[in-house]
Amino acid sequence: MVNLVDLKLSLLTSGMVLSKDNLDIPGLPRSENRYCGLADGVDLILDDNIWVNVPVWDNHAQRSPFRLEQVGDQCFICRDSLRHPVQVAPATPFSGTKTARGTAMEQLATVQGRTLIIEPVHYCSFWDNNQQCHFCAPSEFIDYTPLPEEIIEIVELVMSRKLADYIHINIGYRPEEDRGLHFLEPFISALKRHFNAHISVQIHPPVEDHWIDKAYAMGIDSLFFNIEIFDPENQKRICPGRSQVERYERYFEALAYAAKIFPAGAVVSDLIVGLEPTKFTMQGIDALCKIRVLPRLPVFRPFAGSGLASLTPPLKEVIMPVFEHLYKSVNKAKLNTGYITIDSCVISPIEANFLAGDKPPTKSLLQKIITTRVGSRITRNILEARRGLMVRSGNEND
Amino acid sequence: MPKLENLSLDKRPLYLIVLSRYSHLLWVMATLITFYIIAYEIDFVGLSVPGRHTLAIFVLCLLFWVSNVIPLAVTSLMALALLPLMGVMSTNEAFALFGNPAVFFVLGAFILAAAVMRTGLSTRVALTMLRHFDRDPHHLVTGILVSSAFMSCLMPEHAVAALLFPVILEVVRALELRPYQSEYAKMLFFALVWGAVIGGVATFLGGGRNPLAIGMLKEHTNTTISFMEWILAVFPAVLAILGIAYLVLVNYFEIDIADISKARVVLEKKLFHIGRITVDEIKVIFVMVTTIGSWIFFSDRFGMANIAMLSVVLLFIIRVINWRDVEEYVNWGIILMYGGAIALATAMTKTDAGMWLVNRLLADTGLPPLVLLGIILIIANLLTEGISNAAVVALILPLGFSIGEQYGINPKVIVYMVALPAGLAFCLPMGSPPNAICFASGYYRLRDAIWPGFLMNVASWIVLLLTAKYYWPLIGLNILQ
Repeated sequence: MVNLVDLKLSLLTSGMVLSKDNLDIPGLPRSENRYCGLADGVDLILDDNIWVNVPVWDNHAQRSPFRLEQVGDQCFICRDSLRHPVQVAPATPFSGTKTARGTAMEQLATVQGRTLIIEPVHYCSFWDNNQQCHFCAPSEFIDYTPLPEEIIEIVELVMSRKLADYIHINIGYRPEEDRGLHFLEPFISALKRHFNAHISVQIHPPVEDHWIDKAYAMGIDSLFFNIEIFDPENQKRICPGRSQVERYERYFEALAYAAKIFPAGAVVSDLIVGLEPTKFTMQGIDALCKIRVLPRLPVFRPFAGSGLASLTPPLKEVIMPVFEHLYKSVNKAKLNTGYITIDSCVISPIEANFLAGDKPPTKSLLQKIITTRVGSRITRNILEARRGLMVRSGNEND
Repeated sequence: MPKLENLSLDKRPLYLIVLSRYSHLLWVMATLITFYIIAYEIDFVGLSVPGRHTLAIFVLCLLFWVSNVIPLAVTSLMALALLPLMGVMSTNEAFALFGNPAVFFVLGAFILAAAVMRTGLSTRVALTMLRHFDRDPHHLVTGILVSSAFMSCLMPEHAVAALLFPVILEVVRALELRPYQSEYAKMLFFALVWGAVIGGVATFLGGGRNPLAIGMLKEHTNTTISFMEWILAVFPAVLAILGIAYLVLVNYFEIDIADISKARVVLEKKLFHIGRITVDEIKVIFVMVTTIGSWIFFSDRFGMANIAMLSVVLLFIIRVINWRDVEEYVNWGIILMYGGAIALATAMTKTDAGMWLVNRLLADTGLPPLVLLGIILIIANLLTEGISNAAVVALILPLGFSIGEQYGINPKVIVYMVALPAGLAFCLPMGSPPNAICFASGYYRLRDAIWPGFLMNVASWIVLLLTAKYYWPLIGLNILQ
C-alpha cells in the first residue's frame, strides 16, 4: 500500500514529467504567469485529501523519475512499478477572468490545494532595495489595490465551485508598525460579513503586541509569522532584508504572544525544509512547539527568478527525519492540528503522521470532526463565539 | 464593525468572561427556580394558596429589583401580569391598580417639571439663588446646599442635579480646583448632592417614591396623606438634616480657597446669558403657583392627581410645552414601575402574605414600636444606597404595613419611616441620581463619599426617630394607632 504522504514528499522533491506535451486534462498546461502563491506546478489530488503541487516546469523536474499518464479519464502517477491513480485538481477559474472592476483575478488570488490564497497587494518592501529573501522570486509590481468587493467576488467564485475550504491572505513585509493590519482590516471585515470561512493571515510580526490583539479582534482566525529559517546566521544570509529591520527574537516573542490570544493550534509558522541543515530545522520545530505554535514545513523549491534558482530541492531521504521529528514533537506537545489548512506545497503536522511509522496513525476524534463539513462549520461557530466573548469595542470599555 | 483602534481583548479566562457576560441569565434562572419552589413546592403553614403565589411573585420582584437584571419598570409589568395569571386577583383588578391616582400624580409632576426645565425657569431660579450666595466660599457652599434643597422641593431631585451640575462644574473649573485634590471642590459637589437628596423628601414633587408610598397607603388603608400634611410632618426633619449637612460639610472638608471671585464671574455670565424673564416662564410660574396652591388647599376636595392632570392640560393650552418635550423629560419607566409596585403591595395585603411573613420574621420579639421603626428605617436607608428608591418603597412598605398591623403602629408613620430614609441616600453613586451625576464629575473618589455620607445616614436616622417620638405627636401623628 502506497504511503501517500511519502509519495507527496517524493513528488515535491523530484517533480514529474508529463507523458505527453499536451495532455487532455483540464487545467493543463498552466499559465506561466503566476502572480500569487508559492508555486506554479500541477496540483494533484492523492487519496484522503492529500494534495501536492508537483513541479513540472522547473529545471530539476525535467529529470524526474515520475511521470503523469492518462488513460481515458483517469490519470496515474507512474514510476517503475508504481502506478497510482491520481486526480488533477480542477483548474482555477481565474485564468482570463476579471472582476467587475476589470482587474484580472489571477493577479489577486490563486488556489493551492484546498486553500484560496489572496494577495491584495503583490509587493514586499524588501524588493525595493533588492533585499528580498533569497528563496523569493519578486515579480512584476502592479500598483493597484483592489476593493474589498473584488476580493468578495473572487471568494464567491471559488466557494460556489467548492474549490477551496480556507482563505489565506498573504502580504509581504510592510514597514508600518502594524505590518499591514490596518490595510487588511476592510478585507477581513468584508470576508467575515459574507462568508463563514476560516481566514488565515500571513504577515510579519507587528512592532507591538497589542496589534496582535487587534488582529484577533478584527476576525483573523489563524496567524502566520513565518520564521522560514531557524538558524539566525542562516537566516541573516538568506533573508537579508528581514534581518535588518527586525530582531530575530521578535518573531518568537510575537508568536508566543499570539499563541496565548488565538485558539490552540491557530498560530502557525513555516520552516522551510532543505535550506539549512536538518538539525536546525528540527531545533526550530522544538522551539515552536515549546511556545505552542504549530510548525508547518514547506519543502524548498528553487523558483525561477529567485536568488536560489540554481539550487536543487533537497533529497527526500535527507529530509525525511525532519517530518518524523515534526510528528513526534507536535504529538508530544499535544498541539491542536485541527485548523491546519490543506496546502499542496506544505507537509502539515497531520500529514507528517503518515511519515512517522509504517502504519499511518489514525486522526484523533477531534481532527476527524473538524475536517468534516459539518464539523468544520460547528468549529467555526464555536471559534466565532469565543471571539465574540473576548472582543471589546471602545464604548463597551467605558 | 467598530474601528480597529477601538477594538481590544478581554484576556481573562473564558469561563470568567462567560460568567460575567451571562451572569444575568444565571441569576434569572436561579430566581425563576426560587420562584417556582416558593410557589409550588413548599407548603407554608398558615398561608393560603394565593398568599403563597403572592409571596413567590414578591420574592421574584425583590430579586429582580435588587439585581436590576431587567429594568425596574419591566419587573413591575411582570408582577402585573403574574398576579392574575397565578390567581391572586382578577386581571381587571390588577390592571385597575395600575391606574392608581398616585401614578398619575407622578406623571403630572414630571410634566410640570418638564415645563419648568424647558422654559429655562429652573435655570433662572437656580442661578438667581446662587448669585445671592457668592460672597465667600462658605456662603457659596450654603447657597448650593440651600438652592438644590429648595428646588428639589419643587421638582424631581435628579432634574435639579442635572440642572445644577454643569453650573457647579463650571464654577469649579473657573476656580481652578484640582480633581480629587481640592477639598472645596468636593464640598461643592456634596452640597449639591445632599441638598438635592434632602430637599427631595420634603414634598411629593422631589421624587416619585413619596407619591408611590401614598398610593400604597391608600390601597392598604383607604387613607391618604395630603400635600400639606406631608410637608408639615417632614419639614422640620428636613431642615434639621439640612443643618447637619452643612455642619458636616464645613467640618469634614477643608475650604482650601480664599477667593471665589471667578465663580462670581461665571454665575454673572450665565445669568446674563439667560436674559430677561420670558413670557413662557411667567406662564409656568402661574401654573406652578396655582397647582401647588391647589394641592395645599384643595387636594382633599379634588384629589391631587386630578389637580395635576388639569395643570398638565393647562400647560398645553397655553403652549409652554409640547408632546415631544414630554417624551424627552418624563421618566416613563418610573410611571410603569409604580403601577406594578402598587398592585403587588395590594396583593400582599389582600392575601395576608405580608402579615404572614412578618409573623414568621418578627413573631414575639417584644420589641418596642420605636425600635421596630428604627429597624425599618435603617433597613430602608441601607438598601437605598444600592437599589432604586422606588424599589425600596415597593419592597419594604408592604412588609412595613404588616408590621404596623401586628404591633399597632400607625400606617402613616410606617409610610414616613420607609419613604423618607428611602430617599436619603448619601453614600454611594448608585444610591440616587444626584449621587451618580456628581460622582461622574471626577472630582472625588468613592472613598471621599463613604465616611461623610455614612455620618449623614446616621444623623438622618437619629433625626427621624427623634421627629417620630417628639414632633409628630405634636401635630397629631402618633406612633401607635
